[in-house]
This record gives sequence, structure tokens and C-alpha cells, in this order.
Amino acid sequence: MAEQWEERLRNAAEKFTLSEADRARILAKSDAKQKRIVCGRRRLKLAAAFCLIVALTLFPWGINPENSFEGIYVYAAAEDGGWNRLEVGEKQRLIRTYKSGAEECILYLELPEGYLFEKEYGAIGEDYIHITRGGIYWAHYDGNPKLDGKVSFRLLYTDENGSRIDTLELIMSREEGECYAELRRIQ
Amino acid sequence: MDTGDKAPESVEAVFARYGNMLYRTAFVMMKNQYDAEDAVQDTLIKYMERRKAFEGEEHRKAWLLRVTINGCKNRLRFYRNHPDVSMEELSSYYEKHEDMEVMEQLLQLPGKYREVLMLHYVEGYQSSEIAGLLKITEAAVRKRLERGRRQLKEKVGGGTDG
Repeated sequence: MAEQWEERLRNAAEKFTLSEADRARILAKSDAKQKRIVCGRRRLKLAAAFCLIVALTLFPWGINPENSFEGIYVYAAAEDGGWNRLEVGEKQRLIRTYKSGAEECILYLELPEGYLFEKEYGAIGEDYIHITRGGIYWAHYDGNPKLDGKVSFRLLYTDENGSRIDTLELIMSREEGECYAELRRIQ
Repeated sequence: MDTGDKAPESVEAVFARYGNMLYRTAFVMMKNQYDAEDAVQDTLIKYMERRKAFEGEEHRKAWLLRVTINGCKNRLRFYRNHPDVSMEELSSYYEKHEDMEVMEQLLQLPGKYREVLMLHYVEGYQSSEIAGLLKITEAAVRKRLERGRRQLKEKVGGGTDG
């Protein structure tokens, strides 16, 4: 038999209900917001495509590996909505956002021609990390500190003959359930 | 492959069925009406944008709850907009003082206890199901339930101890 306080808790929680007017307002706002999001995404894609075309037109040398040697950029999302560039030797805590059914630790990678990564996938506990030339996807499923750990991705820079010139290591770690990224140069 | 729910259900129908459940969960997490409504709105937007079908009605319900709870946690962490509900506002929901008292005490518990107590005692989920929803271990759920229950009972009195 349910205890008295359980019954009271259930009754108390069930008092929070939405009126018809509340429902209509929430639905209308959701609909409008979703339309704005779709519109915003389209604009962002167009802007990104435009920037890419301009960049390639103005700086065609940018895709030359010789000029891109120092061109690896790792950015961590900042709490103010901007991006912090991760310097070699630096470690940063990543902010998380909720996206498509899971939390995601936000990280962005610009990897110029000439760089290779040794592996594409990694896992820490239940977290799943996928690295591509265009970015890094880190799905964060559980804040349980017992699932902490780290995984590293080596980014190799090679010359035209395929000889290794430089190696960077991108270390993703979970500490107390928080996501961190660290960039190191391997001599 | 996900084939259990071939015809996607409209957001209106889903909101009519689960709106109150999502709202009361969000209210208890956010502790005010306005942030709770915003969290529910975000859940509806995610539902509209979801492309994958659900395995069944329970899967849909659990997904909605999980998205709402995660949305609330993100809001609490980054962009909470409104202060906690005042006692005057809270009393407007209740005719009996004892009903309000238990809610008042629940809202004073840490969030991790509030969410498991709501899911278990109000929504009727078992520990294993809550573990799946919150992506924590079943042992952690049981521990949170036990501690939350104890703290709440100490504050409001528990009737018979079972």
C-alpha cells in the first residue's frame, strides 16, 4: 500500500497542469521557433558556402601544405557562445549542449591538407567520439565519474613524399564527468 | 532497424497526451512556470525535428521525458532565466496546505533527487527504467531514490514506513 506521503506527492505534482490557453501558446511558440531555426540554418549554410568561395578565391595558397604547416586549429566552444582556440600545450574544459537525443561536447577542428589522423573513432566509457576532416563529434551520454578516462588522436603532418614532419596529439578526456580537450606536440 | 511506429504522430497529438507530464516534470526541475514552459517548447521542437521513428509508444514517452530532463539540466547549467516560484505563486496551485507542503519540500531537495522521485512516484517508472532514461546505473537510481525519499519523509512525515 502506498505510503501517505507518496500519495500526497503524486497529488501535489498532478496539480501542475497546462490550461488550453497555455497549450495553444506553447505550441504556437514552438512552431514559430522551429521555423526560425530552419531559416537560420539555411542562412548559415549559405554564409559558410559564400565565405569558403571568397577564401579560396582570395587565398588560393591556403590549400598548399607548405603554407599550412602551422594551420591546425582546434576550437572549443566558449560559454559566451564564441570559440576558444586551443593552443599547443593547452587543455580546456568543453561546454556541452543537448543535440538530437544526446549531450554533445562541443569541439571544432580545422585540419589543412597534409595532415592525417591515425584513427577516426574513440570511446570513453559510454561516450563516443568521431573525428573527421571537418570536425569532431563527441556524444556524451553519462556524467558518471566512474566512466571517466581519456582517448587520444594523433594528427600527423607529412610532406609530399609522405615523410612525417610533425605530430600533434589531441587528447580528449573525461574528468568528474566533464569533457576536456588538450593539444600536445610530440617531438 | 526502427520500424515500430511507421506513421509519425503529430506534435499536437503528442502534446495533448504528454503535455502535462512534461510540464510537471519540467516545473519540478526548473522550479518556475516560465522556464518549465520554455523547456517543454524545446522538447516539442526536437520532436518536430526528429527524423527517426519510435519503437513504440513507451519509447516515444521515455524519449520525450529524457529530452525534457536533459533540456532542464542544460538550462539550469547555462541559461536559467527566471527565479524560483514564490510561496504565493505555489499556493495558487493548491487548495489544501498539506499538498503544497510536500511540493514545497520536494522543490528544496537537490535536482538529482527531485528527478528520480518524480519519475518513480509520480510517473510510475521502475529503477531500471529510470536508469535507462537518465543514463545512470540502476544502483545510482536506487541510492538517489533512497536518499531523496528519506529527506522528503523527514521533512513532511511519512505515514507508515514500508
